[in-house]
Amino acid sequence: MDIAVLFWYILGMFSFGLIVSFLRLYRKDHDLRKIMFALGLFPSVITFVYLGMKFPPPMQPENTILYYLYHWGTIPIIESFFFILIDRILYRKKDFSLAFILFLVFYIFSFISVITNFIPDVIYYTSLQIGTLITILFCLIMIIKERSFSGLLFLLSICSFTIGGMSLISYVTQIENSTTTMLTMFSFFMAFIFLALIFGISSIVKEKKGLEMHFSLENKIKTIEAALHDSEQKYHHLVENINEGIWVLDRNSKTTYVNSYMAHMLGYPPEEMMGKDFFFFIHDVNSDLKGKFSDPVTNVNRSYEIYISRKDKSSLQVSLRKSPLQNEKGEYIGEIVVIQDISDRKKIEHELEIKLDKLQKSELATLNIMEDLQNTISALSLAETQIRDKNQELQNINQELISARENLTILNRDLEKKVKERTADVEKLLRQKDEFINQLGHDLKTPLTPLNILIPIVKEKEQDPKLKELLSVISNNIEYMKNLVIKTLSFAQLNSQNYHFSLDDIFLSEHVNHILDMEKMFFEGKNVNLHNNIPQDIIVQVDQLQLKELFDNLISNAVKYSQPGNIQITLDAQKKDDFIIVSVKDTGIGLESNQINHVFDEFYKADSSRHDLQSTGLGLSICKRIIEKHGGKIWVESQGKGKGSTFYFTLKTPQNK
Amino acid sequence: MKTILVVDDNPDVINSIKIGLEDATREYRILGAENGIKCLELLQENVIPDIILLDIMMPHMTGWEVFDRIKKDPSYHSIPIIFLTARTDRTAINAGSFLGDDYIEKPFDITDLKKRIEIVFQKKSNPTIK
Repeated sequence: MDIAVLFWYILGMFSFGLIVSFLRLYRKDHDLRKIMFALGLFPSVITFVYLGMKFPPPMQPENTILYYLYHWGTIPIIESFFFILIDRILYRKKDFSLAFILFLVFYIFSFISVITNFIPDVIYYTSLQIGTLITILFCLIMIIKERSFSGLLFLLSICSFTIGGMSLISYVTQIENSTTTMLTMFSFFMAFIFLALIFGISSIVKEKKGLEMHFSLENKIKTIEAALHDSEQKYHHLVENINEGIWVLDRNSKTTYVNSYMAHMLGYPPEEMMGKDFFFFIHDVNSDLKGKFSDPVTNVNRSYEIYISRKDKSSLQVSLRKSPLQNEKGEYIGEIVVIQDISDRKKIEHELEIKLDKLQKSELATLNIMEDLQNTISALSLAETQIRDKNQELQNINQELISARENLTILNRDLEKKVKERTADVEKLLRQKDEFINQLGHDLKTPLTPLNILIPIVKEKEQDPKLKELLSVISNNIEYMKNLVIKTLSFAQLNSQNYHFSLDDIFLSEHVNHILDMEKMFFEGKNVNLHNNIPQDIIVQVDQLQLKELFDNLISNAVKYSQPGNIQITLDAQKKDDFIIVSVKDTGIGLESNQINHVFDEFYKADSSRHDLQSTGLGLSICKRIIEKHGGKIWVESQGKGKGSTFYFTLKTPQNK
Repeated sequence: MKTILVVDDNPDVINSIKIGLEDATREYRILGAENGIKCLELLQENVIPDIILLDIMMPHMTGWEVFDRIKKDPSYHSIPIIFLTARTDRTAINAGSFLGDDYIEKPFDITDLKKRIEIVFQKKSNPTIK
């Protein structure tokens, strides 16, 4: 057998293998393109087998069948490429059936035109060349636009087919040599290889790699199927376990599926709901809802709130959301409805509304309180203004008071000044008075001194009894005048403001002894007995000169008012509380009760009926004044006439300072 | 016979004392000075009395000043001085009783004066006597 014949048979078998592979693929994925290629390759198989049988081929026109076969053999495969690429570029696999129908029309038309030869060769070849060029152009677009490897394979395959076809025609027509035979064979062979590579079909090529590819493809399909099954399971699980009702309806709103949650929500078993109208389950169905619901376009994913009827005739408020279902062709086939139980939510919303209402009420109350507060603030503000006014008044009053006080201070200062001036005047006058008294005393006493000395001498020397008596009168009056002057001045000094005491702590008894020594001198020859019984430890706080004058007065009084003879004068003292009570007791003529009350009066004389030249009536007044100046008291006690009298006075001890 | 110098601006006082003491007792010689200056002149003339009776209120020089001068002069400071005073104010009495050997208020009895003079002399001759 010639090697060329063998090649033609191999090519025929190869083509046939491809057809079988395409048909098997179609059985799996129902892709019409596989049929298209199978039909496209069919004339090639016949042509290659016939060439093998009639090799070497007879020259034209003897072999008319072969001629027709040559013409028709590669055209359908080019048509296949043409329509597949048109579909790929223009329609994007949306619906291949149209391209397949056109392919079939052209397939039959080309067959009839070849058989009947009603189309002139020129037109036939020209249209074939244009179609081939367009196909090549599509391939180039595909390569450039999609950077697709399969586009390159398409291009190579088409070119190979074209070269193979052209060389086959030239081979058949005349140019029969081994080169064209080899070119034809090689071109077809390459075209098939490329075609097989495009679809991954390896059944023609009996190489190991091709088989492995086949198996891996099947494995992949199995894996995808398993994943799909798994995904379906997951989807089913998800739908069945979701906490929302899923309800699938057909285009007539009849139930085709409900998930268990939906069925549970309504209280029906799922199978009981199948085929029932959706609106059968709606509680308050109306035409408006129906209209809205049945419009698949405008109500996509819109949500409604409706009441649905449960099997036990109770109603349930739900939220409904629907979306249309489409088949692969994009046709409306029904609805998928998602339903959510919103009764709890509504309950909460209702509670919220009540609370909101309360809140609004409380807001209103707050507003009222605010208004009250504002009123209160206004009142407070008014009160504050009034207080401020009052404050201002008070400040004015205060200012007036301050100014009054200032005036008062000025007046006070003036007054003080005047008082000081007046005091100074008074003090000056007092000083002048004291000075006057001193001067008066001096001036009165000085002329009395010679009289006091001389009269007694004259009287003593006078022998004439009558003159002697007259001198006695003079002498007595001088004595009286002397006493009167001394006592009056003394009393005046005691009443003087400027008379200051000089207090000393002295032993009373010892001091009294000194005084008595002096007194005794004057009472010589009068039989006067002076007794000092004062305890020696008694200390008094006194002005010594005043104390001496006090005792002088009291003792001279006692002597004066005693009958001549045995005159007893007793001095004593005792402590009582914080005072020393001193007593001067005599055995004199005593006092009557009415006299006791007056003995300390100034110029009081016991016997006012006669002119007593011995008494000035000031001695006891001076005593009283002295004791008062010492802060003490003086009094006299007497049992009556002829029973003597006792003078008491109190003196302070040093502790009483 | 003891000499008594009486210093008083009233000559009647000097004379009456002179009559009362010199004439009556003849124990004393009485000298008189009408003021302090004359008193000091007498002392400078070496007339040294045994005692001076000194009036306080005198013109030109008070009894205090005379007293001060006498007590400051060592030639006379030992002469005893009895103040004769008609003043009744405390200053005079205090000064008279504590500064001098004694004091006697005018108008005084001549016997009283005599006793006081004697006491002073006794004190001088025997300082232990109070």
